[in-house]
Amino acid sequence: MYELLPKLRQQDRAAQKEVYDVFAPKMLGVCRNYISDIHYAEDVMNKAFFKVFQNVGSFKSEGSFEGWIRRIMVNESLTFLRLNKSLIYLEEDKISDEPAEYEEDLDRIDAQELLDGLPESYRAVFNLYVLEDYSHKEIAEMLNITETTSKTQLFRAKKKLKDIILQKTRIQNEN
Amino acid sequence: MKTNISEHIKSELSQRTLKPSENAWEKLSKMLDEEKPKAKTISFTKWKMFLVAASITVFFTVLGLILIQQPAAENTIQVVGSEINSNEVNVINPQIIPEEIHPKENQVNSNPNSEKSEVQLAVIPVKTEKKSNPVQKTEFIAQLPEIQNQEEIAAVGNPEPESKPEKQKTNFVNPDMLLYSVENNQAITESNSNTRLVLFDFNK
Repeated sequence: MYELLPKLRQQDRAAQKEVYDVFAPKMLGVCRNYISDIHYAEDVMNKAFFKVFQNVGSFKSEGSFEGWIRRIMVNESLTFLRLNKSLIYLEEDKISDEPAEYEEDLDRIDAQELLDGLPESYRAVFNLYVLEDYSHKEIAEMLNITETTSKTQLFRAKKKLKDIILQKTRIQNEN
Repeated sequence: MKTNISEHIKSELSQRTLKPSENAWEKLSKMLDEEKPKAKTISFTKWKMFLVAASITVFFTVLGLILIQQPAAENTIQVVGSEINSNEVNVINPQIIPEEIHPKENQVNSNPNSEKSEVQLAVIPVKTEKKSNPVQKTEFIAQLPEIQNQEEIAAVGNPEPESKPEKQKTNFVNPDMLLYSVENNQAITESNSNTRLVLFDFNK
């Protein structure tokens, strides 16, 4: 893929199409992790690819090209959520001592359904921490919140996921 | 099998792929096409801005140079004026002198007799005393070729020799000659120039 960079920097459309075909499915999945609506997710992905192609000149070949594209996708998704005022953070509460991690037989539970059941603010922090491996400090900077808020949001996200799983398990057991 | 929720979601979603809609690339391509003219416009705007900035810079540079050189220019004008005056002086002389001389030259060329009269007029102060002397006339006639040569030299355009003969009109009297003339009752006039005119008045 790195051999396409010179052409990408020259705004070669064929090279852009090639990069798009390779990365778009994976990047649409990334955007979909943050945005419940697939159509909005695709629009966000296209905007992010647009920025990728426009700013490809600033990419230094030292790092991973895919990682660079992925970061742009995440930032664009967060921008979308911010613009739609989906990211609402409640006042920090004391984190319960109850362990948020929950182990259950999850083979029959769709992960996307679990994420879609989370509020946007919970999901953003959860995705950044769990899927993108950002630290709370980095998340706090990205979302312009405190580290404590980030931790709180993550705790609540896991607690919410637990509730969702219990509810789904209950429904399945009743059936 | 019990699995951690976070690990389950990560394993399910981190490498998940979703196929974009068929017209997704067309939308993006359209966005990129629309951006190209904007980019050109932006670059053209930047180019215009650059031109404006360059024009302003050049304008102020030229203005500054003019303002800096203005006092010097005023001095220069004064100097030029003085130069003009000096040139006028220098130029007027060559203009006037040839005009004064050329007619003479023309007269000399057209009428040789007038040369004599002019030359005689030039020497009038000395000559008035010797009108009655035929020898004077012969002396005069003998001196004519030299005077004619001087006029030719002046006619070439060198004004300086013209002014000298006027100064040379001043008669210098050799004491010996004066003594000789007094003793012999003669009026002798001798000039210091090449034109040497000696008048003898034998009537006295």
